[in-house]
Amino acid sequence: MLMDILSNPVLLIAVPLLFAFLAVFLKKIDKVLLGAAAVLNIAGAALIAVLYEGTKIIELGGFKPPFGISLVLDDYSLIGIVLLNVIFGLILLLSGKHVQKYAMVLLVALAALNGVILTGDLFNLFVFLEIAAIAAYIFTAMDKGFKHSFNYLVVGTLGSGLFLFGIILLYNVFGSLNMFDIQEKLSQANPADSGALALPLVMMFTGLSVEAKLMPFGGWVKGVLKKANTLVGALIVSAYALAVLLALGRVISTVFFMSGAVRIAFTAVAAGTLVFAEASAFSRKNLREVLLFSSVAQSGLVALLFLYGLTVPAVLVLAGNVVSKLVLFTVAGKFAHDLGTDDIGDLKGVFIKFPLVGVGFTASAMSLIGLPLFFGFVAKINALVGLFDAGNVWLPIIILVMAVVEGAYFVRILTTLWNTGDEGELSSKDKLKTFKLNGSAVVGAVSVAVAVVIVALGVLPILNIKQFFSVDFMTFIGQLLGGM
Amino acid sequence: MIQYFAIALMLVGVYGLLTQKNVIKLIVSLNIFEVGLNVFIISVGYVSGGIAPILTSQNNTSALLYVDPLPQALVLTSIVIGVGVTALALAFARRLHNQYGTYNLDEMEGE
Repeated sequence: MLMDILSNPVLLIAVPLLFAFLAVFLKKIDKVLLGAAAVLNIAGAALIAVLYEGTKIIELGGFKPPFGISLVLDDYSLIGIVLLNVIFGLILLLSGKHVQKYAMVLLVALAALNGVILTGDLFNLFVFLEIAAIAAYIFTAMDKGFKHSFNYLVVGTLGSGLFLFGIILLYNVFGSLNMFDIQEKLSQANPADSGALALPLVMMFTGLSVEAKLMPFGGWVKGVLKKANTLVGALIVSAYALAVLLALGRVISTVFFMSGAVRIAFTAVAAGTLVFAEASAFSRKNLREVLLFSSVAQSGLVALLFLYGLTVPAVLVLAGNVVSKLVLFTVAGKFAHDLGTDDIGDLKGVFIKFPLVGVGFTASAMSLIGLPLFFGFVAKINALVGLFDAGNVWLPIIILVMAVVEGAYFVRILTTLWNTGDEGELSSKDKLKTFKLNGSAVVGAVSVAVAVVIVALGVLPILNIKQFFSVDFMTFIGQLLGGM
Repeated sequence: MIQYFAIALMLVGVYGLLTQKNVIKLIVSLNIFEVGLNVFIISVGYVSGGIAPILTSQNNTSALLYVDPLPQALVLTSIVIGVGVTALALAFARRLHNQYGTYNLDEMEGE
């Protein structure tokens, strides 16, 4: 009985929210509350994962679905909440000193992001998205970049307004806000009506694209992230990206009624995002700019996979991306903060000084490119095989070409950061500049730990070691690779 | 009919967002957009000749024609969120004015 209450997913939303209210009155211990909520949420997510027995609909307030708001706990949202809360904990561990007065805002963000992943109700999704977005507007202004935060606020509010408009249009047609109820009604809808349904879907897709950073709607990203500190950057590129893209995937897989033209339009947006963002990343010289464009590109790739119904590969790519980006952006932000620059040319040979950080960074970057023996490979190969199976030839070609571009700029970054001296010159330690990094041990330890997980998840499925693991996720990956 | 009016209001808001350079005017445009959206949401639940969806001693059967209460509940949430965003946007406007001494986005220098 007690276990039932403790493993109720609603606590993942309610506890941080309660602590956020408490933090208003108990300003002196707000950071303690933030830490406690993060730890409790990790524990709660772990407990939910251990006791998980298949899809469960949690009714709130005693209303039976489709009435009232319900939370959905299934394989999809389970992976989401476990990853999100672990990532959030790691971000706090790595960038805790940047929290300053923003503990309450971060508590609200944690509650809202959990809600975004768990909710099964469209309007509730809008509310959680908006709460998460308002929290993001506030903490992106942390570095006094009010102009960019204001830009983000205007675009974000317009985007969520359009999303709400789409939801209301759907409600007008189907009389329901419950995603699964709408899905059922959609399956009985006349295919000839798909033209009429295109408007709400386009509105909703556009609205979500703003937060999901798809181009051209995600133009705010550059200004906000270019000078972001480790905390803000890591939150936006990993925690927010994870929750918002999972929400996009949930909406696409339940509500979206994909007829030919609508899918082509959405695919063009997602593929265009991938191409333009990789090209932009290639041309940048600052580590954080490269990473933010790479993050945008990955959003495009994930959205593309969701649009083709490849939910499992999309989640794998997304999980690999957010974990890698967490390490990469934290390291980049740390360089910018402690060394005063994140220009790649100024950081020559920095990893010789901090080998642990370098190993973690390198493994994360390799995984992002999708090299074998790293988790990114498992994710990308599944995505490509899935697209080929669906009879699509062009999208795998685009993805592979873009992977080459991605590989090119990451290899350039890695060779620069591991070597002193100019190109074509023999690297020697005499030329090494003095770098001073505060708390490099923690960053190093965490990034190496992440690297070990990335390599393990990349190697284990290839060894077909699944019979030694009873964890679903491992067999899941094993079976997928076995089916090749 | 009222729905056309609501959509026209939303478009006025979007037009303002696209053309204005002044921070305050942008916030006003955002609000016009939101008001249009809220009117649209309310209009979705409207039933011609319907009464308020409250059971009273006079109106106590489900046979009567009620308006849909759900959009009214939704619009309340939407208004609250809108107020919060506007307050935050005005706070940003104030800080921008402190920083640059102007409300015009074009005149703000630097990054």
